[in-house]
Amino acid sequence: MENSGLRASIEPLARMGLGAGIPVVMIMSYRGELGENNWWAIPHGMTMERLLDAMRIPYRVVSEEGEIGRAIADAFSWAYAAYYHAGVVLAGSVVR
Amino acid sequence: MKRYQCRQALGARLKDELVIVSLGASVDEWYNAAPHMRAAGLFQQQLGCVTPEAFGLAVGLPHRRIISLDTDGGMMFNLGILATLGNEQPPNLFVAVWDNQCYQSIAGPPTHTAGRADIAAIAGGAGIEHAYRATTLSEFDAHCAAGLSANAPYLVVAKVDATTEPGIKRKHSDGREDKYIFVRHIEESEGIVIMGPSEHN
Repeated sequence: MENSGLRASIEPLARMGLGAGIPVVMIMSYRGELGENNWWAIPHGMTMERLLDAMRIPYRVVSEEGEIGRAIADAFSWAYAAYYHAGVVLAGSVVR
Repeated sequence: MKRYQCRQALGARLKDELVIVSLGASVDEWYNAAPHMRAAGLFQQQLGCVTPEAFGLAVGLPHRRIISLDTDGGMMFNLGILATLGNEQPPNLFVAVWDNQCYQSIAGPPTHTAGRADIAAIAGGAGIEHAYRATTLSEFDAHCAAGLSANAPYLVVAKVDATTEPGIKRKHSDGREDKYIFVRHIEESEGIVIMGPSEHN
């Protein structure tokens, strides 16, 4: 998903993850990071990491295409061990 | 129409199905109305993701009937799931929406379904061919019979009173305990491992 989807998903993520320990692995684009040239994407970048931190969701920002597979595998391993959400954030250098 | 009587009617038809349960008064009522389905029900106190979770389960276990017990408030929170069901057409998913036309847990202010909004009509417009309203117990029970044997997604909106069955047993477990009970039930009944051991003890 685009990282704006994280904002839209906070309510069920809180109930599922914090309330019951049902994990969701999320792969999202890092819209709004430095280098962004779309004005509408700026709020996505300003809020994404703060929301992940507020939810105590560990994540890895991946900026090299060759590291994506390992990051996804690691996120699944962590989520299955913790029974909590994990995130892989694809930097602009990967998705633009 | 009494919600608890509808739950008893539906529960009497269930045996091997899996159920995702919504929040509020729905929890204890289902716990009592269908005691043989307690381990087969995921009690989560969730708003807006009950039917989405049931859809995921229906995709993951296509050979098994999945039941979503949703609410008017929960469904209006995330209407997008109806379009997902309309396009994906899970053949093994039965959705019952308890529509008491109010937010019962916060003293009962009306939801949109107390006005002109019609969840069954919205579902039909979203591509769910079998989307109905039931206003009597016999109507609801007939839809349960049809929906539990359908080969397409089936949704029935039960227009129920905003009353809670008095004197029923409270469920003591929380969402985490309920999750483990539910997962272990699926593991046992499907012969699979979902939550296995750590690599090292």
